[in-house]
Amino acid sequence: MMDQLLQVKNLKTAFRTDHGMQTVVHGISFHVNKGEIVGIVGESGCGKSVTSLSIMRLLHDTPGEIIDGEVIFKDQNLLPLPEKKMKSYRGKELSMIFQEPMTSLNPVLKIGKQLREPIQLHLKVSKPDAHQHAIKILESVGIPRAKEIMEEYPHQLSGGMRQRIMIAMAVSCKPSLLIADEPTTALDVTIQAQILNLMKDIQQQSNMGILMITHDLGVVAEVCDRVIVMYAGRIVEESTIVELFEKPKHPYTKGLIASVPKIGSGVNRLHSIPGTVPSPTNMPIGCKFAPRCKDVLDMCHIEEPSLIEKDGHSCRCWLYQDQRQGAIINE
Amino acid sequence: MWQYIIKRVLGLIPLILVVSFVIFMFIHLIPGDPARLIAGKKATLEEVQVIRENLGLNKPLIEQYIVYLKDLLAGNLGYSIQSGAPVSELIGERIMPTLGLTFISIVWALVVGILLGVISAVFRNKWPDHIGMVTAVSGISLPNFWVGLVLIQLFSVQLGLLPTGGAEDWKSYLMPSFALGAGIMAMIARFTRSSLVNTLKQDYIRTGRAKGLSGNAIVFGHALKNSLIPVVTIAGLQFGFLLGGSVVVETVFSFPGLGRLLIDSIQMRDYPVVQAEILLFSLQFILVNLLVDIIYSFLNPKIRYE
Amino acid sequence: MSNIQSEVVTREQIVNEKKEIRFYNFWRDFRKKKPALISLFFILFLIITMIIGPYVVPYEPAEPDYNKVLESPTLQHIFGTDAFGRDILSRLAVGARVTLSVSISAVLLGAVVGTILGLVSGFFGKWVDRAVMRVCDVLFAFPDLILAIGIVAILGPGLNNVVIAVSFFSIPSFARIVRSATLEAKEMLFVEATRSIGASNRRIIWKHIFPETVPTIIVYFTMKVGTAILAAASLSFLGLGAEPSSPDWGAMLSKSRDYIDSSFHLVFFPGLIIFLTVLAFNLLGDGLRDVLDPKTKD
Repeated sequence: MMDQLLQVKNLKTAFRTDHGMQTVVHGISFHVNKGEIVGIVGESGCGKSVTSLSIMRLLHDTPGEIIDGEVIFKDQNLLPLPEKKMKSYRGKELSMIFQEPMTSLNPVLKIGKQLREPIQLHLKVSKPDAHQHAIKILESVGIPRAKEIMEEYPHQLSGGMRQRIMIAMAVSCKPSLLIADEPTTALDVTIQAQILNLMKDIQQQSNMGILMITHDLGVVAEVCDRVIVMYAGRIVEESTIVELFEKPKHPYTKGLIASVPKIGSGVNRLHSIPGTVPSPTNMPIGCKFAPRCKDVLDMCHIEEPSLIEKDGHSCRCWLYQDQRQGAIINE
Repeated sequence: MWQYIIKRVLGLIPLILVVSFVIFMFIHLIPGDPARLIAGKKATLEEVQVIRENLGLNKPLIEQYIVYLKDLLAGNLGYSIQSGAPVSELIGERIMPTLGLTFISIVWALVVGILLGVISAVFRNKWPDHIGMVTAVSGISLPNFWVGLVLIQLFSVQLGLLPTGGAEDWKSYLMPSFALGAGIMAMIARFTRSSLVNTLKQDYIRTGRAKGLSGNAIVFGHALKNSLIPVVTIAGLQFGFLLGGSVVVETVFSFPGLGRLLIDSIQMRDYPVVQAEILLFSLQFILVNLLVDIIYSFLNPKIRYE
Repeated sequence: MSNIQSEVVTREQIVNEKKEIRFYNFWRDFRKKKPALISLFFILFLIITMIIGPYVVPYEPAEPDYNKVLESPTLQHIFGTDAFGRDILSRLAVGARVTLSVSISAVLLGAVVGTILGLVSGFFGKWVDRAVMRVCDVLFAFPDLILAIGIVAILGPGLNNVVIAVSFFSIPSFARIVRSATLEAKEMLFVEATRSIGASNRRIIWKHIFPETVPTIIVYFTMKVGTAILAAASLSFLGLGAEPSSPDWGAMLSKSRDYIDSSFHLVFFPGLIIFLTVLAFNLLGDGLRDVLDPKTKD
């Protein structure tokens, strides 16, 4: 058994709305091992981004609130930590990169200043040292003329360059875990592949864990060791990458795989799954996927199946479970 | 960026020409014969005729306008009907107190307004925000002449601390600048709050938090500069409000400035002075907004590096 | 929804339903805005005062009573009396008619002209837009109150001229705001669709674009009334608006400065009522904006 870097246990996150608290992440549990790349896939609104923000405890500026669960990072539960202590984790032990490289950098501050900030803060070095360190990091993420770029503003750079800078910023303090929320979605196809390769390279050099949040199974196939499929705030399937693509179980996963275009082309996404994700105010009673499922059983409308593991492959579906006892049956 | 500034300055020339034309037309729009208006009620027909000739009022309008522009460029603003003195001289005597008053007012309004706005945004929907925004909406709704009168009652009549009028020393600037700045302070506070609240929702703020920055580092290091860029623009527009307000506040405090001169001149039908004053106020407003644009371009790297 | 025929038939119905839903949603959200709701009641109270004020006031507002000159507030005259012994409360109640009708009609005039300019400018674009916006630039180059003072200087003092002067500085801001709302509405699909059916420009503007801009106009109108009350009161205070003998709130203040040493109530109450009225319009405007035009919130 490998060392567990991050362990999420029964995480529940809810949003304050006009109609009261609405749970968007329904008690999910998973883990990331040291040096492992784990993907979380799902459609927008399935709670995958909220999960990542919950782990980082970055929900202040949203109506979201963690209402239950544990996020254990290196044997330390992060959720009860005082905010001040949590800050010393962010950017140092856990880093995050976001979907929009165009808006994720501050437009009125020089790249250099934005890169130096976490280095000075966490590595407690002087400004010139931080500057040198930042240049080294920029070079390591494949940015040419790093010295000049330190003096430039974000709008002078392309989207791909900005995402490299975001990555440089995130890995500058050698974190053990990098959370990447749709890091390539906003980029051109050719740039997407470069960024994914860069992340893989960095991961191999530094042996950090990566939690890759994406809607794109193509990205998952490229980089991940293990995959978690989320639907309507729940984990519906979890397995190794090879197993998932070879023997997908959940009808939702099968639909996702069927709708994967050739890597990157992005069109016809989820083409083969009819309907849309149910809204939190209008959740089906039983299996949340039942209304869109083509293999739906009567049972599916009555009771939600639980997530059952068999040989390292978990699935939340009545097709693989004894409907009377909830025990595993043979396929 | 110099290109940007030069472009802005050149872009203003047509506007200034049109505005000066409108103001030039002022004297012709008043019902009645302009020469008679300028000569005053007691003038004889001959005197009116002399004035008409001297001022070229018998020439075509466009020619008159060109003469008017030439005079303006030479610093000649015409002569007062009442005293016969050059208008530029009358304005020269009054301009310093008014500039002082507007400067003090805008400075305190900006400082307090931004501070109040930042506090409200940082404590959004908590009690400091509620207090700040109640103060702000009240400030916007207060008639400045009433504020002035209440201040006089309180500090001059009741407490005997401050003079009721004049512009002798710093004490006589306190109440007028408070009355004049209060509304603008309130508007800047509201605008700063909404701008900062909006900035704090941006993706790069989340990036800052993900780096482990503290709340203060986020607000002061990352958000404030971004949110003050639009506040600068608004402050420029509010300057017009300040110029209009100065007329009222100067009247309340018998303050020897341009605003008081404007009202006195209107009451005495001293049209050349009125005309020159309106021109001066408008040019001042246009120039302040140019200045604001330039400051804006300094603050915003997107413009600075084009 | 593939049948175009049926869509056309039910369009009117959909529009009507949409209106009902809109109103219901509006009221549901607006009710929660307590300051705006209280302000709305206060404004309704003022409007009732405007209508019935002259018939219910305790004293004849224009009748001098030289036995009761400059009395401080008492039980008989709760706001005191002025230099002619007239009851301040009665004068304020009657003056509501003057002050509010001047301000509201000024903003109404400015709103009508500005809205037409904004609609035309936003809808036709090109040179029409450029021309209208240049005119607005020129109007914007004059500070609001200075423009109004200039206009009154040309036209002479008096309430009608105050209406014109104050309406003038509302025009460019209405034009700009309606223009951008028009551009937004124009982007919406159904306008394109209507145009392709061959509806006339006037019909498109009036039936399709104008209704989309109404919420913005309502919000802005409410806020501008507050500004207009202040501007009109300032003009009256400066002696450029209402006659000093008129019960206009600003005019009541203009002479009061002379009595500030002895009779502060003369200054206090008219100013207070102006403040409260402007505050009510501003709070109502804020509340309406939050509900009707939420994208401009924060």
